[in-house]
Amino acid sequence: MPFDESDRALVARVGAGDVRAFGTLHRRYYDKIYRMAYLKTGDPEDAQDIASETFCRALKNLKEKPYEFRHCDSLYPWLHRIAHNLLVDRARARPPGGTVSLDAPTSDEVSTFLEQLPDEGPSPQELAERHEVQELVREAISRLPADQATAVMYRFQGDLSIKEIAGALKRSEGAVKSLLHRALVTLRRDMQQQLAESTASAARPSTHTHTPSQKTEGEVPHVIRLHQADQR
Amino acid sequence: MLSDCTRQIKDKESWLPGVLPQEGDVERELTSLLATAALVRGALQAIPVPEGAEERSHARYTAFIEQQWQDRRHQHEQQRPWPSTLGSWLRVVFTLGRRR
Repeated sequence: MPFDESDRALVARVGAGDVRAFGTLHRRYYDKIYRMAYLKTGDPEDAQDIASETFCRALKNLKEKPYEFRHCDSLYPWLHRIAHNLLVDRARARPPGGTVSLDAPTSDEVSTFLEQLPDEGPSPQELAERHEVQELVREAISRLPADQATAVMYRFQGDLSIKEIAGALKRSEGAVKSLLHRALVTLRRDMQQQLAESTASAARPSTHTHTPSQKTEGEVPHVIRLHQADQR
Repeated sequence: MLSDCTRQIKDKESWLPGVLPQEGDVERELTSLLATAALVRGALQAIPVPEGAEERSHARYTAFIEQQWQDRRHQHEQQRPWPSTLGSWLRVVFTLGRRR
């Protein structure tokens, strides 16, 4: 078996009854579908359930309706759609808006990073591994319009090429580039707004009395009240 | 001099310069959007997958396949044997023939 067999070849083998080929697809995409589900639900248990169910549905559909997968060389958009439909059916998607905590150094580092992509300081991977940065990005994506959010997920989560995204969304490559550009501008603005609110809330004098268990003012995480979707 | 990290980000998002409006400080805007793209990509791909989640999912779809096979076998067993089906058809043909 070739090391990196294409999704199309594997799908053809699944259609012919080769279950091991489905195992390869499962290994290739499980993490991505789990992360997509987690991004929408914010709950690891729900995300695991959705991801597992996605692959059961995919297996059933690949045997019964293999023609459904045809617009893209990658299986990812098709799996993403199945997972999305499951999330809608089960009403598991968490509504946008919530509370994100960022400590002062992280807030400053992300602000600087978004401004100028500094050669020194933490790399994007190092920043992104911090849970609060993941939450910041997650909240910002959840407030994007649906088409922009999907394009962002295909590009930055699924690692699809512009051509593959165009095929999956049935749009021209130019339209996809424009969609992604608009999404990045919106995401940057949203994250910068959250960071500015974080700094402002840190600068405000605290009205709470500190208990011994609380940290000193400089160490208190800056709690950002994000706008609820219906208030926008 | 660009760092390796910045160069990698630029290579990965090579589509981006082509869509930027050519007004204002284009280089600064490009750098900032590349940083946004890198942060989003990094954050999405850094979400931790719980240990054993993939194996549990594998077990679930394997059980699903087993169930499908059992259902199919059960369905097959419930089908009438071919002599019985042939007998029914012969009876229909014979009845129609007699009516003529």
